[in-house]
Amino acid sequence: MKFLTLVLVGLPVALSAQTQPALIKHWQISKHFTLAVAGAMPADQYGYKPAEPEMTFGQLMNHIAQADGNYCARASGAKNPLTALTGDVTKDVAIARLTQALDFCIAQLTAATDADLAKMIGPAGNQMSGAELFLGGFTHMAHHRGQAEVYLRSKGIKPPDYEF
Amino acid sequence: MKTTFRMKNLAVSAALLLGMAAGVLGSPLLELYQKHLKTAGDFTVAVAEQMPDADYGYKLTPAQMSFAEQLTHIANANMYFYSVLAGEKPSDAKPASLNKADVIAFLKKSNEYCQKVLAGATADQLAKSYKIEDGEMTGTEILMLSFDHTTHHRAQAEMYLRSKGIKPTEYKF
Repeated sequence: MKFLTLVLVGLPVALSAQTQPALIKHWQISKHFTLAVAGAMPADQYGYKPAEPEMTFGQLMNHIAQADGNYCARASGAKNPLTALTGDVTKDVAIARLTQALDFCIAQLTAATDADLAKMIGPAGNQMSGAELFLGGFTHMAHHRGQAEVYLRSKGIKPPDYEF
Repeated sequence: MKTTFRMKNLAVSAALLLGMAAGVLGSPLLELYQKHLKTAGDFTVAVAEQMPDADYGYKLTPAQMSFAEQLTHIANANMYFYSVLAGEKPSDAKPASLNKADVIAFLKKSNEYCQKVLAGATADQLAKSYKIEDGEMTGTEILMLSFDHTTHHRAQAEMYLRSKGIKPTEYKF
């Protein structure tokens, strides 16, 4: 019976055992890529937006940072180190906040146990596992970073090469 | 003694059967990837539906891919990623044309293929390492790459919609 238990719990654990290092590795690469995109826009263009209903480039960068902090706080139970920010966002502030949020996410992800990653979080009917929330933040970042590249293009700047 | 031995045998057989089932169906992480693959695929089709056929060749600057090329690139890349996972020869399929109807049909074909591969995937397939164009990765990393890469290009396509005055459909995950 012990063997039965081992096999039953063994497979999902084996999968999370390789999910966590994969998430850590690619969050780190994603941090590098996102900071490269943030760095590619000149400081005096941080107030630029291609169309009226959109965020400025600076707000878009801050939105990535803020949302990363939120996703990783929900996934880990730790407090998002970033407080809300409104108004204009300068290049220096955006880069500082992106760095802070991404370092927080990577630290929380590294400290997470298998139980943390498997735990279902959120209100009934709208729950996600810890692993899913870390993947959610990762994908949300790719979404807005992809948009940011079009901001760069429309300023005649070639975006940094895609990294994964 | 005999009874104990039988019990043990039964337990081992049951464990193997359940273990195999868990490898295909029972893994929460595999289910998670299946769920998000479906959401991501449907989301891309929804973005594709929003652009009028006449603007499928649109791009903001000459160096970019057109709207149609962004979507075709998503579909081709996903077919490649999931063919690696399945151990199949990558398809060299192309959309019949870069018109809206053909590009959407191609996206749907790619989504169906990827979903089929992942529906039959095992925990072992996700744990294994594969050589792909971008280096060596586990199956899990290939899945993450497919999500990241799809999102990257779909978000760019959404900006093309914006620049045509169309509000992109709500972000889904």
